[in-house]
Formats: sequence, structure tokens, C-alpha cells
Amino acid sequence: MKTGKLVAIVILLITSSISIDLMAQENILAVVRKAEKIEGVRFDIVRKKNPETKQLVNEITSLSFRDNEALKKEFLDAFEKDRANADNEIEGRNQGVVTELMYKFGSTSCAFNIGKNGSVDVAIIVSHK
Amino acid sequence: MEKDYNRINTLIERFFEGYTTNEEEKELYEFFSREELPQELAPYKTLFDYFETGIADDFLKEKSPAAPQPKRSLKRRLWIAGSVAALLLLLVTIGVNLFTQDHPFNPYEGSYIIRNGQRIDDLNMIAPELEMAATTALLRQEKMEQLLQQAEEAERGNLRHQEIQYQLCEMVSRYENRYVREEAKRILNIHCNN
Repeated sequence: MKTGKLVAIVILLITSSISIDLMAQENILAVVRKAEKIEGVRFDIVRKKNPETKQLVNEITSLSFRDNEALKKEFLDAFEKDRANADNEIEGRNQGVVTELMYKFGSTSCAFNIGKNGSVDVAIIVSHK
Repeated sequence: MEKDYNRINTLIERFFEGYTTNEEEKELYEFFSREELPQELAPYKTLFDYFETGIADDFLKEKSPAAPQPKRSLKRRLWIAGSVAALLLLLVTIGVNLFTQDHPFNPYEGSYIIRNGQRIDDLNMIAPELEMAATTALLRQEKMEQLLQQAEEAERGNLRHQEIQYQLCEMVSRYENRYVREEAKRILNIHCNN
């Protein structure tokens, strides 16, 4: 009985840690999924493997767009919502306006950047090192 | 006549060894199609009759859908199954070789881009864009790591500074004279709570 309870607790801890890891940046990922279907958004999904070990090194979801204030605001809101879950965060401002956000959630990094020409770049990097 | 029989005997030997030509086999079939045969050669008649016409008849019977299918022996079935397995193995080997030759390892396997809602996954075509996207994203990550490291170092430096200041304050607090304590703080440029 005791072993059964212990196993159940271990399984619960493992599943909860996995779901917490996924939940950490859920708002950002939701906007990324939405942006995939929006015309004018450049999307690059890069899965890079190590040529020697053939193992996946990192998965990068990179997207960029411009002249879409609504989408830009959605990303800023999503980053703000997921801020509390980040292990580390870096915020860059230019004349009081947020131009750069970088969050680290365990092995996942999320970056938001507004370029000088007004283009918005978002990158999600999952490292498997 | 005796000479003919000797030749037939030689041809039979060659036949069973598999060395006879078409003409020689035809000669054998013609010989054994005779009604009258010498006693020592008569046992071969059935065999050569079968080779001449029986095989063709069997083949036609197999082809005919109405004809009942003869039961294949276990040996024959095994032979067919073995042949099919060997052929499949050969085809799989060739296929795997061709596949690996045509598709050498690509570190970007499974990557794709979306432009105007259209997914493009031809790696040869999109390789430069994948490289660019990966490089930009990883540089950004690198910058983040560096900034975090700098922040950590600054925090460590600040903690060390606070620790030294605390030790100096401890030392100064040992002076009984208040004026001496204040002068020591001024010289050491420290701010203590007491």
C-alpha cells in the first residue's frame, strides 16, 4: 500500500513538473499558434540536429511581421502574462517603450524584439543539450 | 541400329547431366515417341513423353481457371516462399541504399517555413532562410545569456562589497570613543547603521 502511494506521488510529481514546464509559456505559445495562420507573418520552424550524434539539439520557432499593431499588442500581453513564470527575464526599453523582452523558462527561451524599422521578431528556442 | 541405341544412351546421360542442346533433346523426344523401343530403353519412354508434352499440358492446366489447382508439395512451397523472401530482401536492401544515397543526413530534417500561409518544407530551397533564422535566434539567446551572466556578476560584486562594509563596521564599532568611530568611518568611507 505504501509502495503504491509512493509510486502515485512520484508519477504525480513528474506529470505536474512536465505540465508546469509547458504551462509556463502557454500564453506566448497560444499567440504563436494563432500567428501561424495570419497572412504576412514570416514563420521559420528550425529543428537542428547534431550531425555526429543525430540527436536534436534545439527547436527554434521564429516569426517576424510588421504593420500589425494588434498582433504586436497580443504578444506583449502574452509576454506580460507569462512573466511571472520565467526563471530569468530581461527587458529593454527605448524612451520608455518596451523594445525587447527575453524570458528563460528552464530549457526554453522566449524573445520579443521590435526592430528600428518597426518589424517585430519573436523567437522560441527549446534547447535539448 | 546398335550404334543408334548407343547414341541415345549417350544423349540420355547428357540429358540428365543437363548438357543436351535443343536439337539433341528433340532427337530424344522423337526417339521415345516411337511405339517400339528396345527393352532397356523402354522405361524412359514415360519420362520423355512427359517432358515433351506433359509439362506443357500441366502449364496449360495451371493457367486455365476452370481447371482444378494441383496441390503444391511442401518442398515446392518452401522453395517459392524462400525465393519471394530473398527477392523482398534484395529489393529492401536496394531501396534502403537508394534512399540513403538520395537522402543524405540533413541536420535540418523536419524544419519548414511558412510564407503567406503556405508551408514550404523543401530543405534545399529553404536552407539559407533556416540558417538565418537559427543564427538570429541563437545570437539573441546568446545575448540574453551574457546579460544574465553580467547581472549575476554584478550581484556577486555588490554582495561582496556589502560583506566588506559589514566587516569594517564591525571593526569600527569596537572603538569606544564616538569621535574616533566617526573619523574611522569617514576615512574608510563606510556607512554603518550604528
